[in-house]
Formats: sequence, C-alpha cells, structure tokens
Amino acid sequence: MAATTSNVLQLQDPNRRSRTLWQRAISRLRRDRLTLLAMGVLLALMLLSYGSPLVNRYVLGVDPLLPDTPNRLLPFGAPGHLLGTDDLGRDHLARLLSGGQVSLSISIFSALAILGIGLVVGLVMGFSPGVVDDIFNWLITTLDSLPSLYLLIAVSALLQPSPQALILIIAVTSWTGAARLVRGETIARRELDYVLAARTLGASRWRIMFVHILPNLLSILAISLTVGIGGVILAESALSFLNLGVQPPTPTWGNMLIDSRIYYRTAPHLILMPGLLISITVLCLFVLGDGLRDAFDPRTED
Amino acid sequence: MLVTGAVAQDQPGPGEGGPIILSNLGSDIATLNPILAQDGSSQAVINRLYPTLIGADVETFNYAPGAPGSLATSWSISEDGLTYTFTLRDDWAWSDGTPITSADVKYGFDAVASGETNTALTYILDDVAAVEAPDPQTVVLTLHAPSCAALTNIGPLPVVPAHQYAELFPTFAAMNEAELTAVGNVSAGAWTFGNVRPGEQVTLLADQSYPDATAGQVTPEGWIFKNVADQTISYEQFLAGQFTWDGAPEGREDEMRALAAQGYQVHEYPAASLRFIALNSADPANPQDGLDESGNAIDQGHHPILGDVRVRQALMYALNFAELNEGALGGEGVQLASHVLPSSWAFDPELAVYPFDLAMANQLLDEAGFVDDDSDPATPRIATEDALYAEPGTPLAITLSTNSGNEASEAIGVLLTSQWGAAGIDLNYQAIDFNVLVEQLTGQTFDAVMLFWGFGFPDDPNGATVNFSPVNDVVAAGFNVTSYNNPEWTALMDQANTVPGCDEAQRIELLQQAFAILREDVPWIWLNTSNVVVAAQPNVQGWDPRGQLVGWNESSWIIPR
Amino acid sequence: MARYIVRRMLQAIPTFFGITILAYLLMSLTPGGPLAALYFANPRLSPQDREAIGLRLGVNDPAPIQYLRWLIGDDWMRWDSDGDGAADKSFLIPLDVNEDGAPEPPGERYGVLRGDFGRSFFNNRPVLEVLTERLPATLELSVSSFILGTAGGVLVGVLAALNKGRWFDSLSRVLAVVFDSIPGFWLGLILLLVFSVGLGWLPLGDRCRTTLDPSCPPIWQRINYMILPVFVLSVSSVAVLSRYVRASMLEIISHDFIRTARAKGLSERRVWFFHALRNGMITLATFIGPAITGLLGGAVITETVFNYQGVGLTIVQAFGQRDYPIVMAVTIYAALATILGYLISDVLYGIVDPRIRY
Repeated sequence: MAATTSNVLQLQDPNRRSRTLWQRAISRLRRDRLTLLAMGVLLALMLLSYGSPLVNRYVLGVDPLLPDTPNRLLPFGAPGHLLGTDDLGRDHLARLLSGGQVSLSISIFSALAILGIGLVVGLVMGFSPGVVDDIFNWLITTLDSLPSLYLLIAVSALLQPSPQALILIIAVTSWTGAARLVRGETIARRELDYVLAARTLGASRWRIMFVHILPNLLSILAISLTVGIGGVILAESALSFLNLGVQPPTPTWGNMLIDSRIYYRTAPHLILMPGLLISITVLCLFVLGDGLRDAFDPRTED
Repeated sequence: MLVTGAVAQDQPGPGEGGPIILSNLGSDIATLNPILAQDGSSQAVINRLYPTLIGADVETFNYAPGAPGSLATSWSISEDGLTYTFTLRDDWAWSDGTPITSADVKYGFDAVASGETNTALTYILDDVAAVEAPDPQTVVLTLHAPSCAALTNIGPLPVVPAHQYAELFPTFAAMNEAELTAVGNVSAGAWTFGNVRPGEQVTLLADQSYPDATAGQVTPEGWIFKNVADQTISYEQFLAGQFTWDGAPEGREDEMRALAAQGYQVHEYPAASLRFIALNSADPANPQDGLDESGNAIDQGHHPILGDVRVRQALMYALNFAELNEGALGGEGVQLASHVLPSSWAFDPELAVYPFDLAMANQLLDEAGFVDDDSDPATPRIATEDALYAEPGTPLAITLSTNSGNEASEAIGVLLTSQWGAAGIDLNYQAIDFNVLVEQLTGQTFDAVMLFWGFGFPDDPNGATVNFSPVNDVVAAGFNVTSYNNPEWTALMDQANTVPGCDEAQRIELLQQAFAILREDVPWIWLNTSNVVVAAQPNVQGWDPRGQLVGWNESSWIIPR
Repeated sequence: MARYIVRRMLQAIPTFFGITILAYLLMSLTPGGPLAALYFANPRLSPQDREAIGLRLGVNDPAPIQYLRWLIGDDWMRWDSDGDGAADKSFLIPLDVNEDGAPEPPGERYGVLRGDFGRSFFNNRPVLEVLTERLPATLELSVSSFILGTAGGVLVGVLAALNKGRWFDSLSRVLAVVFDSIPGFWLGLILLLVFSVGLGWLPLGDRCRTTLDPSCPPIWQRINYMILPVFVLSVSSVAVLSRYVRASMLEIISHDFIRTARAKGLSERRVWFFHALRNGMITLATFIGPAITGLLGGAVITETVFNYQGVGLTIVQAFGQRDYPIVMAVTIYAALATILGYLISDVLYGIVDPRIRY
C-alpha cells in the first residue's frame, strides 16, 4: 500500500521520481572511472572532429580536401604532416578529423532518427492495442525478416549515397529494434500502479504517454542511443566496404579505411588509423552504454 | 642437397604438368556459347574452347594466315574488295571427332545474322553481308561495301560445332534459353571443358589432340579459372604461389615490378584499353537519335554548357595530367591525344596532347561567355548573355559520374574537381552504381561520364565499334553517346576505310587528319591508357608473353606440382 | 505447444507476403534495370531487341504483374485455349504486348508458390540449383559460428558471473567490448595478414584447396580453412551474448528464489545449474532470433574477405546484375531462416521459463 501512496503523491510532481533517478545515476557515474574515461575520450574526439574546420585551418594549416600529389603517401612524422599523407598527398590527420565529423554526424543523426521513429511507433503501439499494434507488428516482423543487407543495398542503389541519404537509409532500415524496446517498456509500465492511478484520476492518454511514461523511458533510450551510435559507425564502414557508403571526396572513417586497403603494404598507417579510430570510438560508446545501464539500474547497490 | 631449379627434373609428359590456375576477379561466366558471350570471364573460357576463323600473328600482332588456334591457312580478296575467300585447314577436328569445316563458320554467322539471338556481335553485319560454304575447306564472305577494316570485323566471327548446335537448338532463338552447360562439351583447342562451379571456379582439361601446341603436347594437366571476391586477397594469394600468373592491381604496379628481384617473371605491355570521359554535347534533358528513319539529321539541341566546343577545350587545358598520373595512376598512365593507342599502326606521334595551360582555359571560358563575376575562386563562373546555349546566370557546373569501386577513377575525380575548380568550373563528381551509370551513358542523359573503352585485338581505327558518326548516335543503342556530329570527320573516316587497295600510308594520312579533327572538337576526353604489369611464379617454365598475348603458348608451360 | 507452433506458422504467412512484396518493389524501383545490367557490353542492341529480351525475362510488365508472375506463374495470364500452340486468351496482360500483330507465346511459368523459382537472368541456370550450390558454404559457416558463438557466449558469461570482480571477469568484459568494436572487414584482413601471410599457419582465404576437382572435401578435412572466418563471425556473438548472460546471471542470483533455494540447503552448484542457468537461458532465447539474421547479414563481408563463396556474396553479385529471380530466392531463404530463428527462440522461452504457457 505504501508504494501506491508514494506513486499517487508523485502525481503532483510527476518529474520528481525521474529527477532522483537521474541524480542517483549521475552520482554513480561520477564514481565509475572507466565510464568517465570513455566519456572523456569521446568528448575529446567530438571536440576535435567538430572543431576540425578550425583545427585544420588554424592549427594544422591544411585543407583536408586539397590534393598535393608530390607529397603523396608520406609516413608518420613527416614534416608538416604529423600522421603522414594519403595517396593524393592530403594530410592524414586533417582527413581523420574531418572524416570523424562526417562519420560521427551520420552516426548520431541516424541513431537519433532510429530512436525517434522507434519512440513514436513504440509508444503508439504500446497505447493502441488491437489493429494498430497488429499492423505495426506485422511491419516490424517483415522488416526484421528481410536481410538488412539486402535492404541497405536496394535503398542505396535507389538513393545516391550522400551523408544525408545514408542517414535516411540507416534509419529506415534499423528502427524496428528501438520500436520493439519502447513498445515492451510501454506495455510493462502501462499497467503499473501509478499509471493506473493517473488514469483513474482522468488523465488523458497523451498526458499519460508524455508525462508518466516517456520520462521513465529516457534512461533506456539514453543507453540505446549510445550503443546505437556505435553500431552505426560500424555499419557505415561495412557499407563503404560494399561500395555503398559515402563516396569521395567526402572523407568518412569508413571510406578512408576501405579506400586505403591497397596501400596496406606500402603505407600501412593509412589503414591503421581510421580502423583504430572507429574501434576506439565504438569501444568508448559501448563502455559508456554499459556504464549508463549500471548507473540507471535501480537494483544496483550504491 | 637442394635441387636448383626444375632443370634437374624430368620433363613432364602430356598432361603431366601441374594445372594453370588464374584468378577471376570479374563475375561468373554467363555462357559457354561464343555467339552469346559478351563478358570478359565468359570470353576467357570460350577463347580456350573454340577455334577462330582468323587469328593474330604473335610477332606482328596483325591478322595472318596460320596463326595458332585459327582455321584459315590462307585467304584472298577479290579485285572489287567485296569478296573474301578463306581456305581452311583439314587437320583439326572437334573433340567428338567431327572434322571442323566451313559449315561451322557459316552457322556462327547465320546465328548472328538471324537477329533471333541475344548476340553482341551484330556489328559484324555492318561489313559482312553473307557467308557461304561452297566446300568443307572454303569459306566465302561477301561484304556490303569495300572496307579496309573488314578483317577486324570478321575476326570475332564465332566458330561453333554446327552439328551439335543444330541438334540442340531447333531455332537460333532456342540458344537464348539454353542451360549454361548445354554447349562447350564439344570443343576444339588446347583444352576440353571440365567443370563449372558458378561462384567458385571453371576448370578445363588438357586436350592432346590440339594440333597447334608449341611443344607438340599439352603439358599442364588442366586450366582453372578461380573466382576471388576481393582484389587485395587475390594479390596475396598470388604472392602465396596460388596463381600461375596475375596482373598487378591498378596502383600497385611498382610492387609487382619489384618482385623480379625475388625471381618472379615480370612482363609489361601497353594496355589495349583507355579511360575516357564522354562529354555530352547534346541536350541531356531531351536525348534524340542522330538521324531519323530517312537519314536526315535530327535537331538534338545543345548541352547548355558542354555544347560549346570552347568549354570542352577549356576542360582539356585545365587538366593537369602529370598530377593525375602521379596521384591516381601510380605513374603508369600514358596521356593520349586521340583514341588511337600508341601501339596502333595508325598512331600519330606528331599529334600533340593538350598542354596544361590554365591561362588558356580561362581565356576560352571568358570567350565562351562564362565569367567570374565575384572574383571569389570558390564560386563557379556564371553564364553571361554571350554564352551560346546557357541561360544567363547559369553557373558553370557539370556532373561527372563514374562507377563506384574503382579507386583510381575516384582519385581522378577528386583531382579533377580541384583542377577544374581552379578554372572556375564547379565539378560535381559522383561515383554511382554501374548499371545506373550505363543507363545514363547509353540513354544520353549525362553531362560527363568516366569509364573504360576496351579495344579488339588486332584493332583497326575504322573498326565498327569506334564510329562516332550520326549513324551510330542512337539513344540506348549506339556507341556515339556524346552525339558528336562533324561531317568532315565522318567523310575522312569513310575515305580511310575505302582507300583502293587499302594502302596503309594513304590510310594513315587520312586517319591522322581525322584524329586531329577529333582532338579539336573534344567530344570525348581520351584520358589515359596504362602500362599493364603482369608476373608469373618463379617456377613456371616456358612463360613467354608477347605483348598482351600472355598465354599464347600456355599449353606448353611446365608448372611444377 | 504444437498448437502454438502451428499458430506461429500461420502468422508467418502474411509476413512472407510482406517480405516478398517489399523486396520486389524495392528491386523494381531501383534504377539501372536488368537489361542495362545484362547488355552493357552491347549498346548496339536495338530497341526492338531490348523489348524482345525484356519480354522473355518478363520485366516489361508493370511491377505488380511481374510480382504475380513470380509468385503464382503466368500460365493463367496468357494461355492457349484451343490447342493450336498460339496463345488466344489472356487475363491481366495483353495478348500482344509488343503490338507486332502476333500474340506472344503462352505463359509457361508456375511461380514460387508452385515450386517454380525460375531461372537466373544472368546465366539461365535454375535458381534452386544455384541456391543449393551456395547454401552449404553459408550453412557450414553460419551454423558453426552460431554454435561456437552461443556456446562461447554462455560459457564466458557464466564464468564471468561466477568470478565476478576477479581477473577473468574483467578480462572477458574488456575483450568482449573490444572485439565488438572492430569493423569486421578490418579484423578479417588483420587476421589474414598475421596468421596467413605473416605466420603462414592458416590458408589465405578460400573454402578448400583449388584443384581440378571442383568439389570440396568433407568439412573435417578443411577445418583450417574455417578457423578465421568462423572466428570473425562468432567473436561478436560471444562478445554480446556473454555480456547479457553475465548481467542476467548476476541479477538472478540476487533474486528471492535463489536465496530460498540456498536456504533450503541446496548445494551451491545445484543452485547455479538448476535455477540460475535455466533463467539465464531466457537471455539466450531472446538472443537467438536476431543472431541468425545478423549472421546472414554479416556473412557478406566475411565471405568476401575470406573468399568463402556463399549466399551472402551471391545476393550482392545478383543485385549488381539485377538478377531478380536469384535476389528473390536468397531473400526468401533469409526470411525463412529468420522466421525459424524467432520461432525457435519463442519455443525455447516456453521450455526454459515454466511461467510461459502456450
């Protein structure tokens, strides 16, 4: 009975419970050194990548798109090119940074789009049992049963692969997992006492959805977003491998990795660095995802 | 004690040597029927299973009687140049024992001429009107009109076992529907058909009845054409000794050259192909044929930007080939002034390539009415009232498309974007799906397309496929995709093809005049041809490549097991 | 249980139609159709020839008709009612498509529902033959990766949970995340360069030795060819699954029923294996469905890098050639595998979780 009371009380301040959840999570994260390290690395990578127009211009003093063929395939530590140059003499470090900007943007926006679609569809499904739920269920099963690779190939042939198209392609083909997740959580929470109480008190369906359910989903969504961004970075490199990714001259970590593979004997640093950056970024995202999961888990002991 | 080299070993007898193994980086074979083959993989297998009517001499690279693997021991041409009479050898039979006769040549031609098959060889019909087989050892060809390039259009005539084909296919159309392995099991060559595992490999077996084996026997046990999905892996497998010989991937030629120090047998030859950029001079929004049904020219409109020859010339002047070669072609590229390769007898060494001259490019663009309105190098030039076909205010922007997956082409696209950008041309470079690219190219809806042009062997500049006249300007069905139409060029080429007696000096003079016109008009940018570097394993004996004929004597190679 | 399975099978029927319609739609929307793909080497093909080839391949009709022909054949669309060999009746499609005055021949296709998968556009081979040739390679890779991946994942996860906080736990967690973060192509290439090129211990790709005999020896004679590709395919399953298994084991240990079991005096081992492990299996059951799809999707890159020619490479090549019948057949195969995977996962739920009743 005590639990019900506290939930009813909470109705007067609907965000209180989730705020304490977040506060607890933050205080836990502060003590999780591995997760903090991952966050630090990610922050540094994002700062460098998104600051790459400035860094390249004022710090490195090079244009990542401008070829300089006499200085092609320079090794690490060449004068003026800390990480050497690629097959067209472009500064490798500058390209890694601006490639990072493209790769990270593709991944972040795709993951957000996946989450957005998943959230809307999942909430709608969770709150509209019956025909709507059945139809979306059928759509999700159908999309899940089509090999994702086939979907990716077909849609990439349909749209010429630009970063924007790639975001669309990835979002359209990958939202089903997020929708399933949100639907499941929504259904689980729909029947919880405090939601039932809110309903008895006459709250509208939308109010319940946005005031009572959504805030409670945020932690799960944050975890899913973190892991999702990592997944898309890997997917982007896989698409580049199949010639379906972003096409040159726009650098991405994926196409830099794939396009440099013929130089793996003469200039191995070209294939090493993008691969390392992809792995490190994804690694940090996954570690962060695990850390968030632990931090938000109410069962974790402080 | 170590045995040094294979000399100490006994020479293997017929079919006792190890098999030849080659890497197939292309697709699977589509067919074993020479009438229907049009892809490189099928052709590689078919060339080893079927004889040809005429073949090229391995020293001169010209068609010559008695070339290995060919049927004609001699031929004569009538006074009027319309009738070609070939005498066939009588010492060769199909693998089922049936002698090879003139009927086998006639069947191949009749199938192509029937129009019922999905053959890619219909260009033969441009020259050849009929094939007769008056007796088993005589083939008589009649031409529509005298043509000095007739032999290059006769060379690809398919020769097939007529007795087998006639029995298998009640109509010519029936071969379109045939199973992959319906034919090929009756063959004539150094090899007989062994097996095909699509997606994996094609195998052929030694055929000791082959009369043209240079060593008097077919030494390797067989021939394997193995699919490899990725070129990097294929090259590593070659280095691991798994392929008898292989070519260097584009950009890695120097690595392969260096293998000579380790005992690999390295060979180089000029490629029989070139990389081109087609520049569409007609309106891409409304593609039209060159001629209507009664042969009158159709108004095809003009490409707003590329329709002006000065813009096309400016592209040439703004192109820095040295940079392309160094950055994208690994220094192996050879710049071209025309589409005729340096290896051709008609090549004009005097014809100059366009020099890299940015000032000239800028001047031509100014004259063409495209001006730099804001002196900001980052923005393209803008069309003024003076522009011939562009609306005033149109930015000088063109799209260059190429197929995705070719790294050298991608690098060229990147370099051209900056080179042409320096002249105020906004190049939108895109690498797209191959099928989409082909549809744009043949459908004539493109601005500029970068692809490869492969030449026949031996080749003649008057060959049917290199015909940039309005007759060949057919939407979705012609080689003149840029809608080039210069009557002077067409007339010179026609003259060169009908020089009485086909006097070579006279032909060269006419052809070279035509090449010079094409150079001025720039309907295509003939970007580059390349050196091809190939290498065989150190332990392969008898490897004796002649130019591009790397495997001409493969039946006598000795490959230790 | 049997009723449940039947019901799930029935539910798969609309899914099947959804998949095939979507797949056909996407394919026919893709620019650069089969004719461009087949005849790029021959731009001299006249428009009439193109029309005739399109007619033979059945790609001239509108997409819904093409789909119907693929699904249930066209012998009922255009047929010969009086037995003179020429078509004289038609339904949905015109008798004379190319308007040359002569009716087109009667339809001869039966459609996939009647077992006719058609022939490859590219080389005219029966689609089923192509698929059965390619399947063994894919199955041997994916089944062994699946077994190794799940077994390894459960084992590592359970051991990590048992040794919580000790070095094995930390090491396995770090390795799990590391291997999950490496792009598959890169990992494959590095492994090849190290173990095949550098050390020479393992073959450089391929499914078996290249010989004149095109068939590969039995699988146990070429384990060395499978080590690297199976490792690459299974390592991320181990990584993902072990993390889930570990988490769910730790969660369950803190639950009341385990405490009760302990209180009842059951030995530590019994508690683990008869309660905790069974509940951990629920995690596994959830994991199986997506894992099967993932293996099929991820196999393309592994197949390419290791030149292991299976259905993954087939669908990529077939799509490149716009070989509709092959693409559709592989799609159906993958869809069936996925549906089966989810079914198995649901049935497993029922077995390991007594609370679930069908």
